[in-house]
Amino acid sequence: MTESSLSSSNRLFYVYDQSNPRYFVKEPTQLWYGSVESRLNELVNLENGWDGYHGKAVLFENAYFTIRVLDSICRNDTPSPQIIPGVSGDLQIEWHTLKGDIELHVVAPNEVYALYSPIDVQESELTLTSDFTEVAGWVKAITETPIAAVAAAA
Amino acid sequence: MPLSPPPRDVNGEVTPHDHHEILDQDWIIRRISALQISDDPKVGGKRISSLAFKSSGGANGGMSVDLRQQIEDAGHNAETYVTTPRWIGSLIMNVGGVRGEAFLVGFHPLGDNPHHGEVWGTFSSPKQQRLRELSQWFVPIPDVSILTA
Repeated sequence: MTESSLSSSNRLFYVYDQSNPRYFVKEPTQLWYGSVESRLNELVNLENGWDGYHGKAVLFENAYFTIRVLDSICRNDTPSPQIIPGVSGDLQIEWHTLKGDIELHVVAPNEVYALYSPIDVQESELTLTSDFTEVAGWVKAITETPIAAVAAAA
Repeated sequence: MPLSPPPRDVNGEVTPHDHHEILDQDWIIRRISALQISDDPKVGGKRISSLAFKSSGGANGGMSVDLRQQIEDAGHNAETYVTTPRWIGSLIMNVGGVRGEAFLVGFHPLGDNPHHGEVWGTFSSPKQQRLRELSQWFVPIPDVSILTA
């Protein structure tokens, strides 16, 4: 028998397997993490003038802040966002699905301009610092696959 | 004919201005990098990110462009000019159309690009959309939509 425990952030905290009586600290795989990490590593190493003008590499502090933002708004199975470099060390996190669009312009740590454009609904704009609760709801709304669709596909 | 020098602040930085020698019938070119392309199923594949239609930020920050008339007046081929030293795509917009959206179109020569200009204004979401609508491919990036769905 295996027991496990979820932390308050719904992360798997430990696994205890009675057939092999040991505790394992285990973090579930986040679908989005690998590709985001790879992309951010690319963007913090961009050459000056990457945009044909005087675009600079993404600042490391913005890349790090991006990971923290995504950690707070994504589920483990949230699809990877796309990350677009700005020209001044900034970046933009984007999801574009058939249900709508989310764009989070990370100008600096704790300075984010958020745009939510769901299909057939008026768009919302927010200026955010550290509370991304509302954005988590947006992400769920446009990236979550309805249970009925999953069942039908199976 | 070379443009008159742009206005500068006490630090020598070019300040936002609408250059009267850049005419409404002229064209500005906006280079687009492959890094500024997003996937979007609503357009059937890929589209230019909205971040490509924003200013650089800061007190005098604008959206960089190349001034087509000045490039050609200097004897260069504009397509070659905006794809050197590395190949990237580019859009072209009519200056009068851009000014019609309350943007300023000015001159900001740089050491490595004497035909560099800038667009200053409020790059709100609706205005970015208008810039998309005013744009055509000059050096196309295949299968990439300028417009959103």
